[in-house]
Amino acid sequence: MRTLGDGELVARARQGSREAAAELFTRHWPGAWKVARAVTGRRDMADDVTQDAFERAFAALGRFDRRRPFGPWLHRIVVNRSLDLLRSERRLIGSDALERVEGEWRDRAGEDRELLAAVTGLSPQRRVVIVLRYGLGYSPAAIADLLDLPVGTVHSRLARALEDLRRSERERDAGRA
Amino acid sequence: MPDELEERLERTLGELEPGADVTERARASALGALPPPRARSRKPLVLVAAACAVAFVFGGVTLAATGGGLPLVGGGSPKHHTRPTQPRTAGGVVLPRGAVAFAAAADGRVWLAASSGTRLHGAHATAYGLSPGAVWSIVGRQGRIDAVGVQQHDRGFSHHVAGRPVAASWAPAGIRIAYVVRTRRGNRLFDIYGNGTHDFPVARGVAPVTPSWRWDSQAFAFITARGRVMVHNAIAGSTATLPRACGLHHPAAVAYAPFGGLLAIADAAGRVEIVDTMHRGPTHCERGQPGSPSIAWVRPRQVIVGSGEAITRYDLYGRFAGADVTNVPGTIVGLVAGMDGRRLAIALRDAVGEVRVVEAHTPRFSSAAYPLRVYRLLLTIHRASGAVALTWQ
Repeated sequence: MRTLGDGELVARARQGSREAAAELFTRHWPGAWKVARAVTGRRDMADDVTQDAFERAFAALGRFDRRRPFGPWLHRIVVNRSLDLLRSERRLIGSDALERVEGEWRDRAGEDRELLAAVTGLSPQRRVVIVLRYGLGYSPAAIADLLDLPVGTVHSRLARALEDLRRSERERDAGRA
Repeated sequence: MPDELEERLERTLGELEPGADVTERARASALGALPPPRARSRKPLVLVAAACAVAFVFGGVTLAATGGGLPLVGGGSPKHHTRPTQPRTAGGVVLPRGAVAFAAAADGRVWLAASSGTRLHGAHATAYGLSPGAVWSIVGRQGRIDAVGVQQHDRGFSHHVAGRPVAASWAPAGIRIAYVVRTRRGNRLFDIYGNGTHDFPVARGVAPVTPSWRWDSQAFAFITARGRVMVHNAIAGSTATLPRACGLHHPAAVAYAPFGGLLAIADAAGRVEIVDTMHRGPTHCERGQPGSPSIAWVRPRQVIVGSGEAITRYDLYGRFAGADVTNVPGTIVGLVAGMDGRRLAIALRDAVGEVRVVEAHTPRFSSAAYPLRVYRLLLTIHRASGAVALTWQ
């Protein structure tokens, strides 16, 4: 089963093969969860967003274009679900992302936690491209394709996000000094 | 060539990993969402149709014999035990049938589903309540309470408070809100108009228990830190203490009946007192299961108290006047009745601390222990240590 490509697994899953669907899940769950965790900044929300994305993806396998890669399609669902939830929460409750980050990254080492907190402090658009680029290793062109954006926009968002992160590191270092 | 920051990002983001338990649950849920395989020829289709016909006939017989087609959970024989299907929790809580909105609040977080499409998923709120018809929500956070439109998300008012709101309850008429604020000097109870004006301090030293409004919105009951139950007349501004009865040690929940002046009070030892606060009718003293109690009225004279691993229903004056017990698969940490009293939402904590909120059929009154009939799972809260406040509108 390992040697089969995603397209073949999707075809078998469509025909009712639970083994093929389980293999798809095993391959893509960690990456999809990573995207949700970094975009939402919250473990519990990442758990549910990713579960929901898989349910939606598997329920819609019949409409999936097998000529296209499965991973980016799934990641697009994860990103959209994460942003939808954050957006609705912000509308109704108000943004308190930074307030929550302290508690949510406690399982990380100090330096990692600060970097992840800084990533979570980015705007959602910049956070998404950072996670896709450095968390999953997508190229800027692939990110542009995944998010339906011009490549130039992806490049500029990446550059600005990195600049934001460097600035927050400088401010933190200055605060310590 | 990546610089040092980019290398750290790759390493740090690359090391994020999901938990094994979540992975297994999600795998089962995702596989359950797979569409059925497509038929390839007419022959299997005919066979499937025949099988369905047979299943329909035998299923009908079975349903007639068991009295319904609902999965049964808790009590009864093991063959009736069915785990609810996996929830779709990412959109927040599932809306119970017939509800305009449903909310669950626990450990400073809130989940909401509304028929307008609004969803909240574990949003930060230390207290949460819904107005009648779920037009507005009251959101408590450190230092303030806000009234927020459930559908349009517009802000009705924002009111500063000197502490952390821990409980809030909207009057049935929608004109007032009673809320409890935790301050350095203990919990304080306030009564504010629904438009954010006229904030009245009602009492100091109260328990962090959600006040319960009388049906006419003219009074509400609350519990003091010393365990006395008091009724505040919101029109006259006066507060009266209910005399102790039934030997309740320290009341932990109060709930007014949907009509009239009956007030149900319960403590953690399983004692239940039902007192008529308006017409001086007889006081009923009952004894149920020990445990942190939750109260829900299902009819004007029928009240359900959930505590421990059972819900006990008390029928006060009906044909079946008495009590019955229904066992549930977990420890009850929250309970609310639907608007018509025919359905319940129950929050159940399992041995590992996971809380499942299920929608269940209000038990049929019976002298024998009856298994709980669960319609569906509404929400799973992976980590919740305290009580779960449920609101059904």
